[in-house]
Amino acid sequence: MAVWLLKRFFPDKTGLYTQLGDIDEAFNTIAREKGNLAAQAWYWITTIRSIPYFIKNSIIWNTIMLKNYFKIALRNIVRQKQYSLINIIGLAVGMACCILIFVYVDYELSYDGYHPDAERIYRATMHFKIADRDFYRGSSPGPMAAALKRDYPEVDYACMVIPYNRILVEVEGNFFSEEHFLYVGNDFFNIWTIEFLAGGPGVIIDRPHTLLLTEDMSRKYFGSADPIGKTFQINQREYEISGIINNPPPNTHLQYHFLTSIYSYRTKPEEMTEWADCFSQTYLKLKPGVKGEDFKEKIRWIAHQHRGDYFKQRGWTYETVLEPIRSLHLHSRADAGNSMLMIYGISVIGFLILLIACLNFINMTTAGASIRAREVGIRKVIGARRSHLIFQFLGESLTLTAGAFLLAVGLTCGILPYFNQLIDRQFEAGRLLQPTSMVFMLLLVLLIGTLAGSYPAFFISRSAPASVLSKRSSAGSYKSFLRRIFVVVQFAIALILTVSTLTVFNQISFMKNQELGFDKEQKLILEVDFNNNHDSIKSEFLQHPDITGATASYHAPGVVYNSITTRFHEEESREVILNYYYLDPDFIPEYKIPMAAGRNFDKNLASDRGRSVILNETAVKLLGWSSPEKALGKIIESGGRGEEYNKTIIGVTKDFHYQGLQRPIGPLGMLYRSDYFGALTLTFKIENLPEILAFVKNKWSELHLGTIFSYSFLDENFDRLYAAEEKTGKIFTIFTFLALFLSCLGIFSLSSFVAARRTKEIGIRKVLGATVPKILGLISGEFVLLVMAANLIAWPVSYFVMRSWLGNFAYRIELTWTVFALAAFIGLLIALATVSYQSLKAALANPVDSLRYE
Amino acid sequence: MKLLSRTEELLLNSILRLEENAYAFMIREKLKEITGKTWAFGAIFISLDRLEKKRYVESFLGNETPERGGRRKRFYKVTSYGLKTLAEIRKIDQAMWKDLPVYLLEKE
Repeated sequence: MAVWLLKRFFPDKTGLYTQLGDIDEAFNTIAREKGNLAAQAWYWITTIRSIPYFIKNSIIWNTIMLKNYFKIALRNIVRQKQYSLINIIGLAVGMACCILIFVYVDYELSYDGYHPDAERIYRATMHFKIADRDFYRGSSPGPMAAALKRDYPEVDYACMVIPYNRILVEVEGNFFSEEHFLYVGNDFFNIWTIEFLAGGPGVIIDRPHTLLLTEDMSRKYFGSADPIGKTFQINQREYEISGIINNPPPNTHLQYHFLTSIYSYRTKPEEMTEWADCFSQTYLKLKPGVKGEDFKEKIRWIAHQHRGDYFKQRGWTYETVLEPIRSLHLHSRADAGNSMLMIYGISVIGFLILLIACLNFINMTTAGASIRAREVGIRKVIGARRSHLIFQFLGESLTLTAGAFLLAVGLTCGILPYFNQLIDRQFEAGRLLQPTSMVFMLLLVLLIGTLAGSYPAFFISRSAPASVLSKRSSAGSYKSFLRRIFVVVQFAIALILTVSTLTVFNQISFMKNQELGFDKEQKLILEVDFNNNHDSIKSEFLQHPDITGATASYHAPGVVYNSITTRFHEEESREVILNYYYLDPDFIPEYKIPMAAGRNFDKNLASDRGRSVILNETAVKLLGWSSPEKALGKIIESGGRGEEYNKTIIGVTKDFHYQGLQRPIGPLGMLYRSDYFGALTLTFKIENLPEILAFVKNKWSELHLGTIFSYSFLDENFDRLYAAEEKTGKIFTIFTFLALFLSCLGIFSLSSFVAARRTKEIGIRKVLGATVPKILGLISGEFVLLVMAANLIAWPVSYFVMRSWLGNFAYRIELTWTVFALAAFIGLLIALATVSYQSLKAALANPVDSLRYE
Repeated sequence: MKLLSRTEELLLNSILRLEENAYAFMIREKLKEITGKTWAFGAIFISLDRLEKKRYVESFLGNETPERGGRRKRFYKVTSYGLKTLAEIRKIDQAMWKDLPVYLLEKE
């Protein structure tokens, strides 16, 4: 240790450490005379005594130089106010952007990581294939959990979970609609990380119909009072509260507000034996050391082992998939979580924005550096080593970056609420203080500072002082070439984003304005509990003069409702899958859905109720008839086999978009079954909406149609189907603006730099008779060329990116040249507007002033 | 000719006395003998460096010995310039002390 210290302190040019040798000899002498301990003590004392001198020396000289560096840096910043400001602001915006995106991505990647042994927790889900269609379900068969725990020693714990996302809670006669109500198996408490604030898991395991509340729910219903022992009415059953648990963190795929034992569910787990039914979720924790991949193979065909004959007979494959809990949010095919693609996309965009800002920064420091070549020369003459200069320049750019970073943090905190709104998350400024964010931000500063300072630090510091000082050095052509490339890259990025934004918005407006094949205007949707008396309820509402039509159905169009039922064509043994709508005879005329063949349901025909079916054209094609007319009168089986499942085709409608335009029109069957109704559609005249709503609400409570009055407008519901695309569009818009803004900052300072350097040239040109427009063209022309070049890069890239994005939509716009032309036009216009300020200033300047310069 | 500092003078003196065996450790021992005080290695190294820079002494590397942890010795030798300087200093010293009456030193 002491030897190491001494080695550091003695600058020994020969590298032979003869001096250390002397000290060793003294050490040995002392050791011989007074003992080893004394010698060691002496060695240490000698070493330590030398430290203060060493430190004092280096501090004195370093502070003197640091003061000088700092002074020069400050002078430079002040002398070039405009450049420095652009530098710092541009960089701060880019960094703020990057920090926000990092916070977002970090959060998305952190899902379900709060379990200490998350890598051992898995969800078993099903991937089934029916009639050549793949289905990924987050759910799994009822007996799965029990079978896993019983038959496989690798499994430590396994439990089933049945989540209810909407449930009515009655407390002292008041109804509340609540979400995230979970029926959980006993092992849930061994798998999940749950902290009990009151009570414990024991009670709810032992006694069905007891309830655990989260902290938030307890506060909502009971304030600061003790809720233990109080009761809730849920599904006509009384639930006693037996404990309070902490709130689950927001970054988990399985949210819960209420937990109750699976034995509170209407069927006992022991009675759930059907392997073909998927309605519960299965979570398991493997024993330490068991590899998920190996175990996955082992349980892959577990459903077939139990119910193989049934699946075989129907030609289904029922494969079990094991998903690690941490991957559920981003990778699961079954959940509508966030996709990894989105994460990659947004990271790339963040990186690109930062790249633009960095290029600006590098550009401006290099431009400034050519002016400072002389300073470097003089420093070298005075005796600075190259390492000193590198240190100086890097330090300078790091300081500037750090300044920009502070501004960026301020900006981030300011934008955070808007950002939250945009991405639908609740981040607090405190997230920035997390270790991961801190490390990221530190790296960001170091990286940018080093990168931006690297050119002057490593290249200029190398130059020989004599050549720098003797010549009136001018910025070399190499540098301006580099600068041009930077501008091209920046604008290419900005243009790619512009094209993307335009395309996204085109697609959204296309989807919103597309003919859906039915009438979605002026439709009010109510959720109603019908008790088989939909006709009388409809007539009650029709009493209002402005309500012109009413129809009952299971769901209103727009709800992405995949009622998967298998279908059997009477002649062939071929199954297909149809979506089903349950509706009354008024539905088709009320929604103005055109018929392709046959007739609508008839209210007065008893045979129409449940025994007749209307298909859409896609379903007809899928079932193998060449025209709608040929399908009429044919009999199909649905839901099962045998006489009682037979239905006669009485009509065929034209295809209509009952789902969003992202999906192709699926095969659809419509049935008249009044016991399946849940939604009431009212057609109204627009004039007196508030009054109609008041009337509807009155009627609704008068007729006792349900516990919570909720209504929606169909056209709004349809617009909401495109919310995800709107969000993408918004994000793209913001980033496009940022990219354009930053690129413009870049060319603005660059053009002013160029104009300043060419003052004299312009003066002479003017004296020789050049006109103002010609000079404008001279300066702006170069930038126009650069933007054109950027277009050449941006077009193919954005074409491929946008084509793959549009591939997500079943109905999409064509990518036409107009979008690209428009983007190019926008880019050019903005670039010209930015540059023209500087070039106009230069062109209008009086040559007398510019030539008088020396 | 420049006047040497007292430390430099002492160092040169001991190097001269040590003849063929003048390296830092021995110089330190010699100094201890002459002055009766223990010198810090740092002081010796720096002064030796300075003397070498001013070309009063020259140095060469010796062999490795086990008691030095395998490191070589750096031997010092007074240059002819150094000798000349030392001789001059001696002359000055002698001139300085020669006719100083002893009783002046023994006041009080």
